[in-house]
Amino acid sequence: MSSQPSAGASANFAPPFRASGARVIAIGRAGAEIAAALQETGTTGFTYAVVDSDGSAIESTAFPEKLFVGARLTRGFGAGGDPELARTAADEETPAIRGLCQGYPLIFIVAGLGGGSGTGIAPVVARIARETGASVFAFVTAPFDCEGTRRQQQALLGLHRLKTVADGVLCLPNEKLLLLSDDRTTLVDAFRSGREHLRDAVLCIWGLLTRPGLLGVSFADICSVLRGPNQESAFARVMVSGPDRSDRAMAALLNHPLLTHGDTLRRAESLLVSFRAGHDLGMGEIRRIMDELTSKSDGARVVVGAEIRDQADTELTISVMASTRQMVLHEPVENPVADRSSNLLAADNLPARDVESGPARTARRLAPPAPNLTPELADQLLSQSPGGRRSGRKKPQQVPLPFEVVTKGRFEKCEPTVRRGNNLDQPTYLRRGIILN
Amino acid sequence: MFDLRFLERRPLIVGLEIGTAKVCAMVGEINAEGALTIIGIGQSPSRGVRKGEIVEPALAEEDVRAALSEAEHSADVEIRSVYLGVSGGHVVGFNNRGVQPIVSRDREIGEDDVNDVIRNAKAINIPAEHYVVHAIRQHFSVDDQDEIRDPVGMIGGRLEVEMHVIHGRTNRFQNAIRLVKGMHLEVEDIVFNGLASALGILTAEQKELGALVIDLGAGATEYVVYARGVVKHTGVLAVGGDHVSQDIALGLKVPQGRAEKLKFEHGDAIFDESAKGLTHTPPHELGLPERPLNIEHLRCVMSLRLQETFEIIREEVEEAGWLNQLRGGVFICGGGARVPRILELAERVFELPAFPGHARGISGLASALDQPEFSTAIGLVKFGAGQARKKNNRGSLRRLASWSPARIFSNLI
Ligand SMILES: Nc1nc2c(ncn2[C@@H]2O[C@H](COP(=O)(O)OP(=O)(O)OP(=O)(O)O)[C@@H](O)[C@H]2O)c(=O)[nH]1
Ligand SMILES: Nc1ncnc2c1ncn2[C@@H]1O[C@H](COP(=O)(O)OP(=O)(O)O)[C@@H](O)[C@H]1O
Ligand SMILES: [Mg+2]
Ligand SMILES: [Mg+2]
Repeated sequence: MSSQPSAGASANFAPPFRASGARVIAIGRAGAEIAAALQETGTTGFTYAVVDSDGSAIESTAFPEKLFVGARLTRGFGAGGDPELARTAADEETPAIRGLCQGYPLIFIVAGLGGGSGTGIAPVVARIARETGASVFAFVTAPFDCEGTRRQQQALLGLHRLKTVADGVLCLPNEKLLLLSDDRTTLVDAFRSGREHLRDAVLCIWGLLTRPGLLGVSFADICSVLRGPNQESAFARVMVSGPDRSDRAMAALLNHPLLTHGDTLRRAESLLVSFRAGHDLGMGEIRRIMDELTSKSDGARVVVGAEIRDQADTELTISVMASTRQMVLHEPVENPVADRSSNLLAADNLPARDVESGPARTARRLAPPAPNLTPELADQLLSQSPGGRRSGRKKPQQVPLPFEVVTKGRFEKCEPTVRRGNNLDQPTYLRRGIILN
Repeated sequence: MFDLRFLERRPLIVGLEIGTAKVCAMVGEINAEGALTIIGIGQSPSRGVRKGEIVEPALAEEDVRAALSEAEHSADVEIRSVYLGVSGGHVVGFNNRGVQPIVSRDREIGEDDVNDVIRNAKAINIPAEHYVVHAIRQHFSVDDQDEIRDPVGMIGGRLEVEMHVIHGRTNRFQNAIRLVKGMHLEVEDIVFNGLASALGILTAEQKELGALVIDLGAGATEYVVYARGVVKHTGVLAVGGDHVSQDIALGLKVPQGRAEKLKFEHGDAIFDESAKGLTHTPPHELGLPERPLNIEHLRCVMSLRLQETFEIIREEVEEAGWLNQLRGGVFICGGGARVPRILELAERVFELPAFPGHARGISGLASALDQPEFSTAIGLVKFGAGQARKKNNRGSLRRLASWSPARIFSNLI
């Protein structure tokens, strides 16, 4: 029964990350600003580091730990919007990046995708971080539509890569923020709002992982929402207090622009709902809200967490993270990195993982990740069509992901071909997560 | 004896497809016995069209001019008017029903009732900026009796008609019409390309059995379902050979033009063991060594795209409820029909027999009829011939006045 709230592994839940704290690695300018927003909250347990391929940006950052990649490659000029260059630069600095990761079992990567540094470096950092044995979550923004298709495409490929290496990725498409604002909102305001949302999302995950919960949420539960083939993940948080707080919370969520006024809930594949309140929060209240939420998101996998705080007021905070299987990369992307918990993929419609091509391969991997598709898996991926039928007998072997700009090329002057949320102008193989190499 | 044939030459019927890959003008003539003959063809590579729609009118105009002038030369005629094919992702088809109570005392259905019910069926809810290209009568029913072709004279309480309506954005159609009219040519009618292709290919028997026609063009793929003799479903997917080439360009990191060429030389609809390890090292140009190209990847990328295209069409046709009505099979035309093993792929995806589309019921330049790219243009001529015959049958020589939104619907297809 996938639509029933699963209470996570509450019995044996222990907050493993509280003592060790978390490493926040900020990449690029947008990353540094998100990290600054996090730091402003005064949350304890985070240590920050900044990585950038832009020398001047890194100089101006206030964080003491910083790594400039690409000194040689770009002669200090920075990657200037070129993810490929930034990625190569980061690869060359592997030992230094490893140094930033070592000793932290939990690593949060924050960045804005679309430019050079964030897009190119974040996947490299995520990979290296995982190689050190850390759990890695990435919180990223995707560019505004008005930033142009080139940035969008770059971001898309960056996101794709990130998803194949991180334990979880939350991507906030900046464009969604416009739903929260009016015409007078400046770009600066819009960016700030993006930072703040990502900040809240980081704090939400951090809270779930570290504070004793009424319903403990395991690491695997979180991964099940943040990881998978989902191109779009939404995050919304509402705060209410007073007597009829559950009703108002529910109304606010169903009307939340970042959940596209309830539409995201309806299309959600998985939902993570986190409650935070004082001791007056009862099981009945949670149940009532969850019943309503699950009825709105038919068929979604739902994970619930609750955190009881010592607080005098009646404030109730509900955070919702929803992953929808929409947009471009709608087909499952095989994650070459070992899943550490067997239920990670339970909710995904990924074909059963081939045992032999699974965990063992991962740690030594240095090159860009390439899923080893077994013939059966390949067959299934190929036949994972709208109709879900099996037909081709194809065996795509590994394929390099062209980490280059996917321009609209011949289709520059016409409308994109979008069908059921998928942009069909994007190559089928990319959307299906087939890596050519 | 003087040869006076030219004096009695029947009106020409010219089909014009402004395609994404090529502009094609096909000249047909109905002889004294009423048989349709193709007497000339003109073609030009198309530069101003993307996804089946004109994006650069100036270039498109040049190409249309070139194709028409070649057609005039080849048929040795002067072209004055054309049947213009239209397509694009904005074109949609759906079925609509009209109902008319029979109020006359004897409850006998008369011509008026038929006209009224058809008018009711045409009172459709389409977006204001859309124009109806075709409203095709499928069949009538009287009370509970279905599948009636001609209800006049029958007795009943309620007359219904099923129509298939194809519509699209008015301004997009106008772009094409304006371009043709700008050359001082008359547009006799606009016709949905997919419908034209189906007309060009299917025999009456295949239409009766049920058939799916897929026109795999460069910028768009049109599909049409015929069953029980009438059009049941139509659609356009703005994905075509250009997408295949673009995917290859990205996958192999080669320029688009190069990808197009590689597609022709090494393409295949099916990716299997035979592609394993295949590479192609292009001949050295200017003495520079070239890197070998991975043909295995090309095949993988290409088959994924083609398979997806078929799967989407399958899904659409299945959802509309026609998939199990296709006893005649699937017919593939358009340039994409040239891809090796495309029929095999279609058979796998649709789980039906697949055939290459061949032009039917038309004679003339044999070479023209065998090309899968020409099915649309041939179908346009066939459509035009049907219209001309209808007009003659009605005893009216009145040409459909120049195109206007108030134009009479073409019913009998
Ligand atoms: N939330 C937020 N997003 C931003 C901000 N500035 C830029 N972005 C977004 O982040 C993306 C990447 O921009 P940057 O972070 O400036 O780029 P970078 O990663 O430093 O990469 P290069 O400077 O090109 O090497 C942009 O496309 C924007 O969508 C910001 O201040 N806040
Ligand atoms: N042998 C072939 N292999 C692969 N693709 C082909 C082959 N021949 C033609 N095509 C493709 O068919 C398309 C042209 O088909 P056509 O029906 O003429 O298009 P349109 O009607 O849109 O102008 C082009 O994309 C071309 O690359
Ligand atoms: Mg920067
Ligand atoms: Mg065509």
